[in-house]
Amino acid sequence: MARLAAIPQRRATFTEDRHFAALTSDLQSQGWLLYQRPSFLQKMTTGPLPENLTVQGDTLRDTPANRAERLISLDSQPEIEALVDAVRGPLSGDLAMLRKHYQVTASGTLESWHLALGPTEPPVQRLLHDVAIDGTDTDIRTIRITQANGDTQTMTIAPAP
Amino acid sequence: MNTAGRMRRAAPILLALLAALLIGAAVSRFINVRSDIADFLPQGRTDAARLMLQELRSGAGTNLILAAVEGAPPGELARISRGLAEGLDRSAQFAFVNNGAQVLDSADEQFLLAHRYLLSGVTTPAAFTTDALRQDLQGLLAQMQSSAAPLAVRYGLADPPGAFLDLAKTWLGQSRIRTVDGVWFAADRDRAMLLARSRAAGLDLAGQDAADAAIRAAFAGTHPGPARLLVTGPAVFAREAADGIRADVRLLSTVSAVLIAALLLWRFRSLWVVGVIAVPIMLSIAAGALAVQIVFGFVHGITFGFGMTMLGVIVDYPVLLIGHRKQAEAAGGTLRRIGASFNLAVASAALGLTGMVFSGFPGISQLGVFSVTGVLAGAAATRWILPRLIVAADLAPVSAGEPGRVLRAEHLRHWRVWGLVPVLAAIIVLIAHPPLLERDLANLSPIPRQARDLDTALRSEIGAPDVGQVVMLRGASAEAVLRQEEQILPVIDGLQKDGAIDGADLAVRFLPSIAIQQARIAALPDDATLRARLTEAAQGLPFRPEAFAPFLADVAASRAMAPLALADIRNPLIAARLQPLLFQRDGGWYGLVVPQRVNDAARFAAAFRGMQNAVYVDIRSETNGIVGFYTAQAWRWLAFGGAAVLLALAIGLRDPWRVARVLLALAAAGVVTIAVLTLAGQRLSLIHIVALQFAAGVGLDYALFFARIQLDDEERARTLRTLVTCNAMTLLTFGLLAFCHTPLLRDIGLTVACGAFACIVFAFLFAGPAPARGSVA
Repeated sequence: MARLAAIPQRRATFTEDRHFAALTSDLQSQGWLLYQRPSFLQKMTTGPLPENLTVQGDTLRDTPANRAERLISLDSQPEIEALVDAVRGPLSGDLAMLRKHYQVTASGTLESWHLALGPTEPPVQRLLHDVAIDGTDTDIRTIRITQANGDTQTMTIAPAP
Repeated sequence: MNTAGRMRRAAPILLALLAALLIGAAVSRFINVRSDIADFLPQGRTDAARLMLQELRSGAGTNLILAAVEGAPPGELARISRGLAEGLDRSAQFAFVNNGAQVLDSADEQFLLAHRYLLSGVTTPAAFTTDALRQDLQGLLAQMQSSAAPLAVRYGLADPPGAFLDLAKTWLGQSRIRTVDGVWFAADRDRAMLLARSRAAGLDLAGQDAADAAIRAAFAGTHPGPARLLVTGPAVFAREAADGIRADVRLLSTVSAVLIAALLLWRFRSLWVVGVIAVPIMLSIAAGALAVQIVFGFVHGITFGFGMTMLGVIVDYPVLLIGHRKQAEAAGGTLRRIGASFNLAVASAALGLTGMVFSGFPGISQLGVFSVTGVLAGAAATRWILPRLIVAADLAPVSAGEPGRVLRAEHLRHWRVWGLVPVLAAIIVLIAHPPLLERDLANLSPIPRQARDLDTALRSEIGAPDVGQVVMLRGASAEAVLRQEEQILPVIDGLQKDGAIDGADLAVRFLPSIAIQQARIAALPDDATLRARLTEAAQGLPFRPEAFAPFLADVAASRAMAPLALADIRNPLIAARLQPLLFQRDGGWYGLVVPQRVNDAARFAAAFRGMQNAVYVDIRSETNGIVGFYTAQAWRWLAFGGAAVLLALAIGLRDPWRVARVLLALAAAGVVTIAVLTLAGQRLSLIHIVALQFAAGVGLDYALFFARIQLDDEERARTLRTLVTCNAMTLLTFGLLAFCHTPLLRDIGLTVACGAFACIVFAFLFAGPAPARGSVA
């Protein structure tokens, strides 16, 4: 964690694969991520449907394609905050942030590690089953979110040059 | 004196006291004392305004309680707020409790979800065509690509047209309130906010006591440390005002009686005198209470408390009689000497109270009726019962006082021109600072100002401003009102688009009429049709057919539903939202259109002008209009009272010079009193005006007795001593009002105490004749 925390800014590209029980095929998307210490996170989906999602401190700003921008105070929406922290926590190396919403289990080695996050609060549990994060050294490789209904969302991350 | 003599002397007094006590006890069983404030303020002048004011004071909104916690770090406040909300929930005293954590709980959400196609305007035949559905599904798929995917799966698959999200938008409104750890906070200070609605009605004082106890207990249960709890709301006001009134009545009834009795004992050095004086007093209180009960159907606690203060005035009559009696004088003798002045004094005191009787304020009218009846009954008892008792017991003041002292006092009149100096000063003060007139009804209510200020602050912080302007619709049934509201919805939307208002709350947004709901049910396609359209719409999209099973099932269920009527809505939060907006009163149903913010009141009002069954009410200008109206009326009664007193004086004194002296004394006292009130920072309200008129009525006593054509030094000494005693009693009892919680009583106390003191000073200086030169050594 401390080694993760030492990195002030990260840029990465990602591909995302969403699996839904309701759909016959998975939905793919890609884009890039930008993280700046301590609490700024940007997830820019470039295609197939552009969406710009930024988190600055407590405020989440979501600008999806062709729809109105949404501003959300994370503090008032613990379910969304839990999802954001699942990404922000490992990036910032902030274990306390993760423990606010999750029971954290770490395994593996420094070169190839694995974090399993189980939500602790009932409102979050109603929506979210678990979050699994794999990484190598100081890089996060995949974040896999399993919804309570079994739908999954897997983000594969490659550090940008 | 031997034992037999003492018995002879005691028997009539004891008998009379016993009889008065029995009458008092009988009356106290008959009267009905109330302490609520709803009946205390005046009604509106139009039906709509009357109804609206009644609704605000005693309607469905009065059980809303606003609580705030402050005085600790934000995280700690949020923790306390959560603990408080849990405690209130557990107490079962509250229909709902909300501190921001969750606007709709799961039961409410289930209810709205189940009835979404009946309640949402999204349901139209067009929304269920293949084309519309295809668009919905494409939108859904796009959402599933985005970060809103969980939301789309949770709500969208079962509801492609989006009826539930539409409802949620209506229900959540646009309240943008700051939260800390999910708890509502005031925007610009660290103050956690909580909203609750008690199960007990706002005016159910016992129920509100229990609710208040539950709040305090829940707060204490959070171990708040240094944090403070603030609680406000109509029910809290009603309870606190009632508590204040009860405390005032206790204070006044015990302390007034003790003070007067002590003063009389000191002055006359005889328990018998005090006992004799108690007879007309008890009779007058009984008569006053009885009259109020008969005229108004109940006696307000404030009236009762004030009645105790009236002791200080009514007691003047027996004191005047006993104080003027010479040793061993016959029953008729004293009355013959002072009778004319006595009658005039009673008449002027009664005339001084006409302003109160006819003030139009139910509460102040009660005070007036109580006092007039009390004055007349006390005077009558003094005239017709007391002389016999006095003679039987041979009561007279210990001594008339040493005449030399009174003459020295009267010597002051040589310099009475100097008495005009304070009068001139008062006039200059009034010219420099014209008295401010009170125009706000709220400031005349029995609720203390700090309580109202706190309420205003908390309300604006939680985004629930005071109701200012509303439109009121009337109908024969809830359904009729809802249909009318449906018709004016376009008007409201237009006003909102023009920016005249920022939006409006009305019942039909939450509960459409049965007719509309039926039309919506009819707009839903049957199962086979919907299935076929959905299949066609999903062509080429990756949806599994079974993904829409909940949608098909919910539409089929909605088609089988009966439309929701008001009575079907039992979810506390939903019912609480509707209750203040749609209610039954006096056999009719009423709907309110409550704008969120009015930017252009004239346009808002004009939009509803000429509409049948819809009335625009501006509560602020209405209540201020009431104040203006009744204040003008109070001035008129003051003028009438003045004219009547002038007439009474002209008839009673028959000497223009004496009338002029009496009037000068009164006018001087009036001007000085108004100047003192202004300097004390008081805004003159009709309460001050009627109190001033009352003080003048009392003050006239003094002037009349000083202005008597005086017989000898001894009689003048008796008069001076007696009047000083009377004045001291008035000052004591009305001064006591300054310690009351109820603002109304404080205002009256200050005005009458100032007025009465000014009256005796100026009456002594101006009303009495100038002493002969050189009569004092």
